[in-house]
Amino acid sequence: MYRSTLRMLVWGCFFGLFASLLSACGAAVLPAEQYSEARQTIRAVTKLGAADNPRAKLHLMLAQDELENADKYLAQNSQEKARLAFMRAEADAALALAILEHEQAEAEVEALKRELERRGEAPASTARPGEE
Amino acid sequence: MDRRLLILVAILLAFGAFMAGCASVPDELLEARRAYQSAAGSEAEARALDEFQEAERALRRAEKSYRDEGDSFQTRSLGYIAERRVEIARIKAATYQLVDEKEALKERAERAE
Repeated sequence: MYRSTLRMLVWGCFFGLFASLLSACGAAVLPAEQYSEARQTIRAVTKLGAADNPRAKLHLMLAQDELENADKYLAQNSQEKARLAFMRAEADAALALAILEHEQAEAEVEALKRELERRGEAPASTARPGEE
Repeated sequence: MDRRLLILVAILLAFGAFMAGCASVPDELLEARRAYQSAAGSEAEARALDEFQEAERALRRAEKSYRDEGDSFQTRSLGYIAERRVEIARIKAATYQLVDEKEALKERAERAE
């Protein structure tokens, strides 16, 4: 009776240890994935030239600050806070990217309008969606 | 006397609860709500539906966090992210409009050649 109880206790401890190891691994992997996602977006924004656009530059800086915060939380073993800081970094980097893409689209439209004007066309008459 | 005191205590408690309720909503969540409400139902929402749905999901996560744990680091972070997602959706909608305009201009330019 005593032996079987002891055996159950040992197995219980073993499974408990295994489960906690698994959950620790899961928690460690999640921020690493988010870190790379945030980094990739930041790289894309930098490549597009965020330095020339003050608004995009601001959000890029905020994203970089959040990445630094995430590193600090990871060093303090605050996985949950690190995860949230990575998410904030990714959101700011994605916003900077959206701003730059919009700026680029705006420049392309302006260039086409100028080209049409140069040819003697009237680009102003181009109906925008929803304005017909 | 006792009844009046009870009424006074009840009023004070209700006022305190009201003030606590007003004060504890984090700015990040308030900003996200404001941004979403001003964009919801607009033409922009129809144009960038996927992005607005993502923003709505982000806001729901922030609201749930607020219901579950109040003004916490998680609620503030999720509110911040939701506000950014709404802004991304708004900008994407404007970009899609520009892309449509660009296509129309290109067609005109090709026809004029």
